Amino acid sequence: MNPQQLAYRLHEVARHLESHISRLQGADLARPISDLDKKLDTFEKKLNAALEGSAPGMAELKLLLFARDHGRYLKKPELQRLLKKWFKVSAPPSASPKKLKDLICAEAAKGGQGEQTVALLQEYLVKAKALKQPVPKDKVLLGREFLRLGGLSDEAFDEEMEARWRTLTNIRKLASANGITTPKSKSKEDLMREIKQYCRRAHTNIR
Amino acid sequence: MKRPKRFAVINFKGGVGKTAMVVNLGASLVKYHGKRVLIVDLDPQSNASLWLMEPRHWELLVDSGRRSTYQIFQDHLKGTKIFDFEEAVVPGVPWSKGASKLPGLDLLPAAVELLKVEDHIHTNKYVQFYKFVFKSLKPYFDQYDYVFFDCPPNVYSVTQNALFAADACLVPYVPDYLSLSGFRILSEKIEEFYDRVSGAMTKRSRPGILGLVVSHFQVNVKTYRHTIRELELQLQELKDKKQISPKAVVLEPYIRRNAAVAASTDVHLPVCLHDPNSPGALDYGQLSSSFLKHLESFK
Repeated sequence: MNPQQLAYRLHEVARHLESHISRLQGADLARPISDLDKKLDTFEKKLNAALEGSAPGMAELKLLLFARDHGRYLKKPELQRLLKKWFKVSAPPSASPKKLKDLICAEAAKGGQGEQTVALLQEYLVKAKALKQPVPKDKVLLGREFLRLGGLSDEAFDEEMEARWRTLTNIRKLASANGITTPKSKSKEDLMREIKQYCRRAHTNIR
Repeated sequence: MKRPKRFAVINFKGGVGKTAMVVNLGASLVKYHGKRVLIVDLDPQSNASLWLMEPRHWELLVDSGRRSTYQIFQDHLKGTKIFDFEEAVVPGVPWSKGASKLPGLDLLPAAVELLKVEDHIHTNKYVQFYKFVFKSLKPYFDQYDYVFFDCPPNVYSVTQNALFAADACLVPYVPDYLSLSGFRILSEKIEEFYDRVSGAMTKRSRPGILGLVVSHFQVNVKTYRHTIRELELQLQELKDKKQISPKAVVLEPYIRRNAAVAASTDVHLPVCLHDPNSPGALDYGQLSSSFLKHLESFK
């Protein structure tokens, strides 16, 4: 039976039931009505889930949220923060990560924001992955990092420097691998300022 | 890739030190490492020829282009067989008082007449014009450890002859943004050329850019270091995208701007003979060592 046939059948049953409603008194149908009611509840939930899933971007959103590889970047505190930031919704503190992911999907579906949420989530994941990466040691990798940092916004740059490169040793390593002199007299702030200036320049000049 | 021995020294930007590099790297390889080197001057300005020969000697020798690289093109374009390598090559340049000052450094000079070659080739639409130099000089390559082709500042037909004849390219580079953007385009052009002629390069490894040489470097100009780092980053980007040979490197040391190098042209000597203790001579001397070391990484 396809959904159209089912819709026709349910419609006919409903019409039949309605036209004979005054004759249906007593316990004979109480049990079947209760059973059907429960089954309809389950069916309605599945129907709504299917409808949410077929909205633009929703399938991809679920894929990204529930991907095993993304688990370390989407733990409970992060999910709560994202839910609040994107949808202005606060989840109960007891909500599990799965529940929070479901809530994100539900909110995105409700507002028809599946695709926008996918874009936001992808942006978040790129940043989160970068922040979890260990600081590279090799000159080639430090060069790639330098170029990538050059493409970040002011806010993202500062956030990453603070979270990932925060020690003076790391900052010196990044600077000296990329042509910035690192005399002892140069402060951490000076080095960060120069890194920002020259990585931006490199990002602009290199294609 | 087999260890390269023939190098096209190329950049379509002028004034970046192509000729200085050909002359001084070639001379340093002979003087400090005992190699045999041939310089093939393909630039109509004939600067390599005039650096290593006095003008009147050069004029007498090339004889309106007959004993120069120009004649190679003429023979192929006109079907003649006038070019004679043994007659045209000047052995042991430079000369002074009738004696060679650097036995082992040979020069195949250029002539101003090379200017006509581009027009000839384009007018007549020769299909495989890029093979002319390779075909004519192939029998003589084995006499040398290294051959350097000094190219004009463009990527037209004469330069394409050097690219085809070479096993690899060396790119002199001035540390500024215009050179950086030019290098990206140059590397694309070189790769495009080798894509186009790969079918004609039977039994040969595909050449590519092997090294960049920074010239006119000034230690006290802060921005140069950043520009050189940007060049290295650009090189890495191109390697990551497989748009350049993974063997391409920025060779060190960077060649410092030095008056002795300019002055050595006035006396028609490579700087290692004119002022062996000058920064220019030292830089090119060290460059010759790092160049040989880099070549050791090839089989």
